[in-house]
Parts: sequence; C-alpha cells; structure tokens
Amino acid sequence: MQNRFRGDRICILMFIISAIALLFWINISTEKQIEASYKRSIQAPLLNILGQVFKSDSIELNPYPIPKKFWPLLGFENQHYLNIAYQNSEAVALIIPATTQTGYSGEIKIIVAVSRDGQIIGVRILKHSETPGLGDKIDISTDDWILAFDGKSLSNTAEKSWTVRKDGGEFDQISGATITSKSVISKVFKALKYFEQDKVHLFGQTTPETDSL
Amino acid sequence: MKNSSIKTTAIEALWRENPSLTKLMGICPIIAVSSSVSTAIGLGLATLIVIITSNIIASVIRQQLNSVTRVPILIFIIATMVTALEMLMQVSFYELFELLGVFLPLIVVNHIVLMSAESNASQKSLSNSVLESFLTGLGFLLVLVLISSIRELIGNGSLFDNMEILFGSVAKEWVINPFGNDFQFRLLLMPPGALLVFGVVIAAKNTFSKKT
Repeated sequence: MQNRFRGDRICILMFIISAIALLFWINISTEKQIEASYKRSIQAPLLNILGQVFKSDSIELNPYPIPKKFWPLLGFENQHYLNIAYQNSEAVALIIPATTQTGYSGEIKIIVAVSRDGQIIGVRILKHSETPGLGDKIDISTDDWILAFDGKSLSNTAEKSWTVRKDGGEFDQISGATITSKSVISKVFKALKYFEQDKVHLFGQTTPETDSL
Repeated sequence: MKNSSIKTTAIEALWRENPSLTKLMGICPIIAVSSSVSTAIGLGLATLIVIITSNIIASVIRQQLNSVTRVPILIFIIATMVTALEMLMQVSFYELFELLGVFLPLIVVNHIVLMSAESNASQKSLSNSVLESFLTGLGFLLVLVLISSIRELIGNGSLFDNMEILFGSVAKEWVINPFGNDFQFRLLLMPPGALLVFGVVIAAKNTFSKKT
C-alpha cells in the first residue's frame, strides 16, 4: 500500500518538474517578443492621435517618469510614465496619461496629447467600463464626442468653461451620462494643469511664445 | 473507426449531445466573450487547442495514471497547456489576449476540457482521443460562434467586426453592416442579452431535436 502511494508521488513529481521545465523554456523564449508586442499595443493609440497632426512614421516616443507631486493631480497612486514625442530629435508633443475614479462605473483611463504650445491635439479613452449605449460614447469607436477637446487649451478656454453646457461650460454633455462627461472633462483639464506646471522640465527650454501664455 | 461511426460520433458531439447546449457546460465564457464574433472565435480556438493538446498528452501517458493520480495530473496538464498558450498568444495576438482578459486563464476550469480529457485518458487510443477531443472543442467553438453572431448582428448591427485581431490587416474589410451603420440594439450586447440569446438557442435546439 505504502509503495503504491510512493509511486504516485514520484509520478506526480515528475509531471510537475517537466511542466515547469516546459513553461520555463517557453517563458524565456517568448519574453522579449511579449515585451515588444506590449510596447506596440501601448504605443499604437498614441501614434494614432499624433498621426492627425504629424507624420506618424517620423515620430519617436520616449517615456518620461511623472514626478511624484503630480500623481494626485492625474489620479495616480504609483509611478506612471508620460510620453514625449520627438520629431527630428525635437520635442513636439506630449502624451499625458490620466485616470479618474469619478465616472459612473469604475476607472476611466485617458490619454491627452498636448502640443508644445499647450493646445490639445487629441484625447482618447484607453479603458472604461461605462454603461453601453450611454457613457460609452466617450469612446471614439462609438461617438465623436471626445473630438470636442481638439484645439482647446488653458489659454483659449477659461477655467469655468471646463465643464458641461448645463453647468455653464463649453462642452456638450452626453445625454444620460452627465457624470461620465463631467469626470472626463475635469480630468482633461487637470492633465492640462499638469502640463502647465511641469512644461519647463518636459521640454527642457521653453520657447518665448509658450512663456507668454 | 469506420466512416459511418465517425459521422455518428460527429453528429452526437456537435449537435445532439453538445455539452454546452445539453448539459450547459462551460457557459461562463459563452456568456462573457460572445458579444463579438472575433473574440468568440479567439476563445473558441484557444479552448480547442487546449482540449486537443491536453488530450494527446493524457492519452499518451494514460498507462501511468491510476484512479488516485488521474484527476490532479490531468488538471495539471490542462493548466500547463493554458499557461503556455497564454504566453504564445501574447507574442502574436496581443490585442486578442487583452480582449479575452481573464477568460483565457479560466479555460483551466472549463469543465468541458477536463471532462473530455478524463473520458479519453481513461480508455481510448491516441487517434480516437484526438478525434473526440477535436469534436468536443469544435462543438464548443460552434456554439460560441452561433451565439456571438446573433448578438453581434442584432446588438451591434455588424458581423465580423474587428476580425483583424485574429487574421491580420486583410480582415479589416470583412465587416458587414446589413442594417446600415446606425443600427444598434444594445440589450443583446450586455450580459442579460447573452443569457436571452443562449436561452433562445437552447429552446430552438430542443424543439428541433424533438421533431427529428
């Protein structure tokens, strides 16, 4: 009886060892490729926004760690990276990530592309779980609402205008999803605020025009 | 196996005794990923691959297994196959991997996979086991495709949208919108819609089976 169980144990042990060996081998042989496809999937939406303004094949993205004091402003609790877009080795735009919990259901992850002079190139929703048919209109695949941000900046839109029309703002509310629209608008505003405060670091030297804004 | 009996087995596995439609096995992924045909085919194929590979291994080593070790080792094999598939999928189908999310690792607990491995590992030869596991996986895939087609067609008004995550950029043109671009009936895209469609499909199958 004891012998039979010993055989079982050895049998199971052999399986575990060979399975671990197999998975280990697959893991090390795919690790690099997985990292590359992860990077591609992260960068694809960013390049997609920038493609409206710049030729996307001449753009190079470089990650930059967001300083800790700005994490609460953007809604982060740990280290995140923004991307600086370079064209001909000159920084031309920033892609700022932000996240908000004040939507209707769960977290909304946003990216805001800002050009050197502080104008929004585009805003996209990376991830959300808003109600299908209502709140999900923030997503470009279902509605054009998000395009309303294009061209806005802190200088051409006053602070009190950064809300929905119902509250005296400049942006349409998505009908049936005012909470969602408001939280996205306020987060985009905060991303611009962050840009305003940190642009000296981000672009190295600021040009005279951007200083006067 | 003779040709005629292959045919009977196929009809049995794909239609008459389809585990998803008759025993309601593995319906969690059917409910969760069937909102578009592309993710449904993705998960269906992943499950099919796991069923076939784990069945091959199970049938090769079935002499070594006894009643004590069989179930733990089978679960172990299935889990290994799923983990391997997860890593391989990230290499070339990263978008699909993200869309399937938690339902890819959940293939481990899909009862259809374990059931098929257990019934094959205990008595059948390699070729029979491959055939039967293929049919079981195909049956699951077909149910997924059927339900997701109905949901995507009525819910989103499109068919074969987003297929490029499976077949590359050629597939971008495959999408058809038979009711025009604005047609949507969102209820079917939400979880209750999945249960409604699933119920209707089972009812239709029962009615049809009774007649023949």
